[in-house]
Amino acid sequence: MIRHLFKLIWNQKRKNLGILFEILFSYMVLFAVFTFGFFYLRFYLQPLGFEYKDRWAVFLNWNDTPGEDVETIQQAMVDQLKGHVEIERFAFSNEVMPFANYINFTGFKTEEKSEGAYVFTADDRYFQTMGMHLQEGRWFEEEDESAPVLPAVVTRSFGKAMFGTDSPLGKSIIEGDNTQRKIIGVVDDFRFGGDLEGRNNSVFLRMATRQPAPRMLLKVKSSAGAAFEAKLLKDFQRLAPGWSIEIKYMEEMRRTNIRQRLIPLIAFGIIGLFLVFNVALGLFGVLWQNIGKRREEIGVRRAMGSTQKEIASQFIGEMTVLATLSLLLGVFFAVQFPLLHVFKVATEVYIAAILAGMLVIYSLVFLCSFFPSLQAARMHPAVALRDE
Amino acid sequence: MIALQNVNKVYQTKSIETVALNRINLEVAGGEFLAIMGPSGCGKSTLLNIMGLLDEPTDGAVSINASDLKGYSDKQLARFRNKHIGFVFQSYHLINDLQVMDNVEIPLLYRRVSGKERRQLAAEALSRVGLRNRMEHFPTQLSGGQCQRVAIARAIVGQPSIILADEPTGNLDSVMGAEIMEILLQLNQENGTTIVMVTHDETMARQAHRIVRLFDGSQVM
Repeated sequence: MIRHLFKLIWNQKRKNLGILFEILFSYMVLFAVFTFGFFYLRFYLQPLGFEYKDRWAVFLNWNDTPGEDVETIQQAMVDQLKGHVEIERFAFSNEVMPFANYINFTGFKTEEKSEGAYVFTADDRYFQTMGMHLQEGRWFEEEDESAPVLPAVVTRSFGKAMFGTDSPLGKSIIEGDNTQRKIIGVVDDFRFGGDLEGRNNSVFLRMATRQPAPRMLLKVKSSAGAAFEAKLLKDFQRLAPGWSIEIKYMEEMRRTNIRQRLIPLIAFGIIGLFLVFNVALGLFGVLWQNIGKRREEIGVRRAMGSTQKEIASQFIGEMTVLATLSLLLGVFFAVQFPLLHVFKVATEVYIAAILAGMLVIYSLVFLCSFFPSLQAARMHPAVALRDE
Repeated sequence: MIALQNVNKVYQTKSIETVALNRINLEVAGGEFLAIMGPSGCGKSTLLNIMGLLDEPTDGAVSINASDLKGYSDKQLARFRNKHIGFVFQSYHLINDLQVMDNVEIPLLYRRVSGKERRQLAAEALSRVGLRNRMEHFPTQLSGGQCQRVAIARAIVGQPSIILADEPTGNLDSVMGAEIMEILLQLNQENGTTIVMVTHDETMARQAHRIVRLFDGSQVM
């Protein structure tokens, strides 16, 4: 029967070519949508490298306040923070922080290699306040203030990119402006761009003690809410009346970040689904028309001893064979992406997208062919033969 | 072989009731060649469809080879048709996208016969109708008479005991029609195949053992 099906499909190749390309097009669209989807899903499932729950970011804009005054006011803020039981930890950093729109990208080099990295300037308390994870070495300490060579903490990805399998600990790197840094610690990858962004090379530089800092990060108790936030803001504004101060919950910043990054993905997904829906409608229509044109054949087959089930199976079988031929072609094209490393996407993402696309196409083809095939099967043989 | 008892067939729409067959009682003996005649629209094809289990009577009973077919499922009826009945239609009803050989093989597909055996049986059937040399042709490449011979090969490939022919010479000229009639007569005489043939052609009908005439759905002789 399979040979018979192949013959029928081959002999109707002109009619079937359109369907074949329709399915192929649909598969390539699905492959692209799934590749995007799995690409981001994979990031989403990976750890961020820091905690965002019960973390607040305080945006400090000291406007025209002179540098010495900023230092004094920030010290007063620190003293005040220590008096609040709701605050478990706090730290200072520059503008570059998770879920924010600031970046600082600089080149680093050794004698053998050079790599670009995102640079964060953070104080000694940042590591614990942000709930980061150390892999090797240590985070910054007070003694680093007088260290002969400026210290740096790097992420695992940066260490691997720069030194391969060697440990980065104790190694020197030259920052873009020829500042020498000594690596004192390696932390887990710090995905500051959020859940939907991949691992990046990052380097943490130490913020000098009492250096004015535009960002304050707080680890608060989970019971701390809007009332405490208002009180804290009021206290800060009393200390720094000329400053613009804003407190943001990092959980909320994360949600906003995800929403912003999901918009293009959702838009692409909707376009993809719309295209696939159109293809499905097309397939359904073509099959419906096809069955209408093949009433005579259905009648003959029924007269020759075919059951309703066999008629339905034949039509579904024909579409499945066509879908398989289209998918063979589609998979051939899709496989080129991981083989040729067209984009920086992991092979497993492509494989998952190839398989998911196949699954959807087979389901789609089955659904689109099921009802017309059922209609064909239910056709009364005497009626089918009469309406030639 | 084929027995119809008080067979009625009524087509009903919302407003109109059309009686296609009215109390038909008919017996066709094994090995008989029966011709059914009558004017257009008298119910000849409906009668043939009921005999061939392609249609169900509104009332009455149909039995073939002593099997009462009432209550048979779709699958049972299909298998019964496949095993016992061959069909020849006026407009051949060949599948144009399949070669002659593949068209003839169709009834064997539903018997789960192996590919090799199918081809052998189809070749034998085509030899019987003199078309062995046209196996690789498509129906569109054949003449009307050749198409009808392919249809006969398809009807006999499964060696059914009954062949139902609905105006098999209706679309053919007299020479080709005579050729087809010759094949049907041979099948009847040499193999003992029971043949029921609907025809408008009195000359053809006279070659049968018996003629049944219908008028307005009723048997008149």
